[in-house]
Amino acid sequence: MNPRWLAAPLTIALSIMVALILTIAPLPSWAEMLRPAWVSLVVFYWVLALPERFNVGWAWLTGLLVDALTGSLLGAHAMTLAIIALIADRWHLKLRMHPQWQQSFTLALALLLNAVLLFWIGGITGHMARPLDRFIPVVISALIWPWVYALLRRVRQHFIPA
Amino acid sequence: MRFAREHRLFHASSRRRTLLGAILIMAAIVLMGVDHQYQALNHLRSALMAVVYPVQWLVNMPGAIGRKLAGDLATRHALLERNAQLEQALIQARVATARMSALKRENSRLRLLLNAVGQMPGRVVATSILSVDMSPFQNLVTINAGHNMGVHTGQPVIDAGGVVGQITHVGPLQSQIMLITDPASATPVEIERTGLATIAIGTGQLNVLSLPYLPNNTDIKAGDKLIASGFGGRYPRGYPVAVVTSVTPQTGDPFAKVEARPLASIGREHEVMLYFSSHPQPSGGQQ
Repeated sequence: MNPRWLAAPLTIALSIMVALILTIAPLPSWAEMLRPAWVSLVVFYWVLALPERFNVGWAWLTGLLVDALTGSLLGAHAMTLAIIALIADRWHLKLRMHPQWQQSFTLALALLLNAVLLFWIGGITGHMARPLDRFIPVVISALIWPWVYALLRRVRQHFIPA
Repeated sequence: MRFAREHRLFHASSRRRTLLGAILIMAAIVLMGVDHQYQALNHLRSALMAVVYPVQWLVNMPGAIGRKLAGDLATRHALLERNAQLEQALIQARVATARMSALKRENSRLRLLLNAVGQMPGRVVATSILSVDMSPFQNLVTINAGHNMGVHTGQPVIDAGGVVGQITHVGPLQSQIMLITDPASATPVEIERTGLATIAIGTGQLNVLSLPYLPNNTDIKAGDKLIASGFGGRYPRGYPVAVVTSVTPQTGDPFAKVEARPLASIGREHEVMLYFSSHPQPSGGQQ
């Protein structure tokens, strides 16, 4: 089907596109604050699985797209996704060996740091949030990580030749 | 031996990636500072919005197809009935417009007498909503019109009920509206019954505006209509904004707790209207 060298970029790009769609897909307002940080989850996975292909730079560019999509300050999500990618990249060898709940824990810490940063940025620019609205998604994201991981691993094994 | 070399090589590239990450995080912070203070990044944002347009289009597609199917599958009888209803409404609207134009002439004559500058009538263009972001800390709607339709930052957006919000970012094909219910939005309004001017602040909830700057003894009661005061030169003067739902005097606090419900059907309509005033609006800055 696809030439070998095209398979990885195409798969990664499509998975990120799906994450972007899930980020803005309309939800009833009570479910809005339960929405996981889809893009962060997908970025975390790709840096963990293929750090040579998907590095901090790509995570940063993805973040700029999120900023344009959600109307946030340009650079806010670029920064937070770069932090996620850095953490995943720094410890990817260890994290791959760890059990899932430990990956979830690391991811939760990274997302918590990001939530605090986004909370501050929101405060400075006048988009004050109730703290819970920022921190519930962190818990949800960490809880669904094992399933996201399993799904994306199947996608990778199916579409990207090792 | 071979393993050791690979290991060292990998280590070096890992360090380079960490360095790249640090530089990019710095760049993001600088970017945020620039974006917050200046208009310099509008072109970059506009280009990025063009890149993400397909995503918004895809999100909107199921709803659009559903509405189209509902239209296609409507029966002839239902359509005829609806047509008759709309014709009735059109006739009533024509009558109202005819009366309006007489009133408008009279109004401009009176304004001339008062030596005041009249508000020039504007033109409205209907656009459809592409996507809605109703997180509790941001009420943002993306519409299907951008530079291609002459949209500009700060432009007011209205619907048949009242003021919806204002344009904050313009892309080539789409633009983003900050709703009047966004916590960062402040709308200059006037109580229609008394003419008192004040400011309505968004709360992040789609059906609640807050009026925090009214003293406890203000003449205001539930049911009072709030109209755009035109101060700040952004929203068309006199256009309906909200209706007061509750007034609670706060003992021990100089200001009363006043809440209002927006009159625009925010979050329920699929179409909104862009308001083009016939004289250029000052742009930049938030009201």
